[in-house]
Amino acid sequence: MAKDGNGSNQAELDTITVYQSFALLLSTIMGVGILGLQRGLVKESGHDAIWIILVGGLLVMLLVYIITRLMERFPGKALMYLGMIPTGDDNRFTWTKWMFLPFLLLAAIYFTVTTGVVVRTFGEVLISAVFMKTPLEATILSLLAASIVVAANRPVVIARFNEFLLPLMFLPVPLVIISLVQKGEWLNLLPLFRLDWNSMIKGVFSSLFAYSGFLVIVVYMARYQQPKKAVRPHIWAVGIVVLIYGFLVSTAISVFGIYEIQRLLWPTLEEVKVIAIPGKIFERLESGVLAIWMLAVFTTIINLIGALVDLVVTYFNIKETRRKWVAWGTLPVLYSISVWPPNLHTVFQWSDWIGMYELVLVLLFILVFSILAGLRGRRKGKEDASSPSSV
Amino acid sequence: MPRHLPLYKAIALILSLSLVSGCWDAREIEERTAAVAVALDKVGDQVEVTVEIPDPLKISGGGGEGSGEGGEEAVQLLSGKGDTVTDALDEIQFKSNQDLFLGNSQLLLIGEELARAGIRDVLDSFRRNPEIRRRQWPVVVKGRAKEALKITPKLEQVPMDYLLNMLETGVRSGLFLREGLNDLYVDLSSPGKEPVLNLIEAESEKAKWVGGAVFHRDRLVGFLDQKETGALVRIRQQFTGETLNAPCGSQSGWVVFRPKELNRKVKIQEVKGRPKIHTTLNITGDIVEKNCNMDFSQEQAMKKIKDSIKKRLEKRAQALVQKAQQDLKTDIFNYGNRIRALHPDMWERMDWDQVFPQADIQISYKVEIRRIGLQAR
Repeated sequence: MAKDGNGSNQAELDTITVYQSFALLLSTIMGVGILGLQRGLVKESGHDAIWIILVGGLLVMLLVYIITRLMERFPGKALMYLGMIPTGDDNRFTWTKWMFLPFLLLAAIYFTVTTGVVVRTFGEVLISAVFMKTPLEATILSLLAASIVVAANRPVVIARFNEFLLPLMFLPVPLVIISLVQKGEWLNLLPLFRLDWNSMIKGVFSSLFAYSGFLVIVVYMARYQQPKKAVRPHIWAVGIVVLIYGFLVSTAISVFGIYEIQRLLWPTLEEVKVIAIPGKIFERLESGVLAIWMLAVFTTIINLIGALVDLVVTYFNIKETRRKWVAWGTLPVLYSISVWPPNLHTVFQWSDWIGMYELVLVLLFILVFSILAGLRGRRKGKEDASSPSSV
Repeated sequence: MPRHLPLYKAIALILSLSLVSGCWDAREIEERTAAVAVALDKVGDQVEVTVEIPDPLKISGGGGEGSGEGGEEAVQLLSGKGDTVTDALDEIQFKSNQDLFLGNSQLLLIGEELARAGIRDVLDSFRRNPEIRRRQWPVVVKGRAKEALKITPKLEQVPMDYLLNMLETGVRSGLFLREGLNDLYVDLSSPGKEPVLNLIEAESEKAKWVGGAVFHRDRLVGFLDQKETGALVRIRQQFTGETLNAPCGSQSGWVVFRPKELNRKVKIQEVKGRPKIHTTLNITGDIVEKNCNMDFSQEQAMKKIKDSIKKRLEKRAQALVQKAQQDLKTDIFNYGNRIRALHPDMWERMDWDQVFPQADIQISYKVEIRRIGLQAR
């Protein structure tokens, strides 16, 4: 990275600041989940979805914390530099680099499939709610093309893009509050705590799909200005997503009740349809909300593609000027994956699997990084007596 | 340092911009036949859908030569029949010059016969269609729903506006049932909730609100008259309801009480396996008319009047409870939902449909008179 940078100033400009890392993680997690996470959750956990989503979020927070803490020990080295860690040699091409190829592949598959599913889901939202006569291909291609224009840039540009768009994502939240005030019924929220342990654990696992996307940090952390300070922004980002999701789930349950939610494809969207602004200045607010939350989906797609591209470019040591071509090269792959599922039902199934797959991947990476940390710890231990204990 | 936008980027940008705008769906407003009200009826085994389409040129303010015409002149009704709602809508499409657009519809009229046969299947196509607003008024029409669109009110040019304003005024004054399409959907899918829709009757020049239409699940099971609905809105949705005549104690004549504030407390217990539901309604209001010679400045008289109003209100409420339990066998008060939420164990043990007619339901009022108008006595 930053090969063309001259001087430390330039290098600093080329890294992701603490606030940008916060924006990056937050916008990646907050994607299509905001429109429809309630249905799956309520189906699994009933009224208890309200706190199940919080518990799931805390679990994700814990995972993010562990992986951040582990990666802190290898500043500037993320997933694609794994091969350099055991040898301690930063630039030499060694056989260890190839040893880690399978892990990279697993991550690349994750980024690719998730992008495909997110693009398809949002394409379906747009078609079923607004552009009823627009072909799916057109929606998907334009979403992907617009995202790739951004994702073809260096990670720091992507991070700046996230930083810039972040405040806009909170714009529709007041509308959801209005719907709560106008139509919310607290009786709909009850009864709570009726789940047994078994279904509670199942519910928590199924809530993980709503948080999918946090895995991008294993790529972007290589570009952080202060990797040692990454824990705080990461925890804050996940925490805010947890709060927003908890809020969206509880308002939707209070407006519709759990029985109606299960019949709604996009509960948040329908919630906005219910409200009336006095004076009839705006009617049919759902298109406006979709337009704003399109940004949320865009940032998710951009960050995922950006991670994929950065992974490939860095690992294969491709010249910076070729990054664009790698990015555009992903278009056919991403496009074919997003049109693959025959219907929305299959898409939802895929996104459930992605949630599980991401969990497995994160656990795997935690394992890999702790082994590496252990190895390094032991080597250091040989050098000086005080050895940091491995996780 | 000026940098030129690379060609490929420019192309991608233009391409995506042109696609994002959604040209495929661009339909100008004049290329649409916008229905403002939809009426659903059952004819034989088929569904008949009637839509009301206003003619903007004939509505005053819209310019044009024929401005100021009213009633049926300013609107066109188009009907279609079919096995499904979509069939019927297609038939309407064949009769109309532009694309039919239902997104402006604010009134959904349901014919009595259709309501008795069940509305779930008919509503399904509306639930799937993103054009349909969740904020519109579903209303049951005595007889055929189509007739309600044929009224020719003199006060409004579009009959739909007349009906809509009537409903909105009634709901705002706390007289009518507040049951929009969204509420209807929610009530239909939630156990422990039953929809009660506003009921109207069409006459030649006007339509009249005549009470409530009670549904059990998705089927119409009975009607409530205006007085009964007045009692229902107090218990069901904490509305104040209409004015009330109470006898002047032992004298002949009436005192008229207009409620202004109301709040409700519900207590639910289980006594010998039977739910005991006690509702207390605190009602506050004014005296607006009196045609007997009672002196309100006397404490004693005031108390008598309050008692008299309380008795009258409770009698009405009891009669309504009896009707709900014995005739309709339907929990129009949505007590079931309260039991489900607050007493989940009790709820899981019983089949509410079976239990409701046997439940012990008591309703008591506490009446407070604040003002007696500009008269001193």
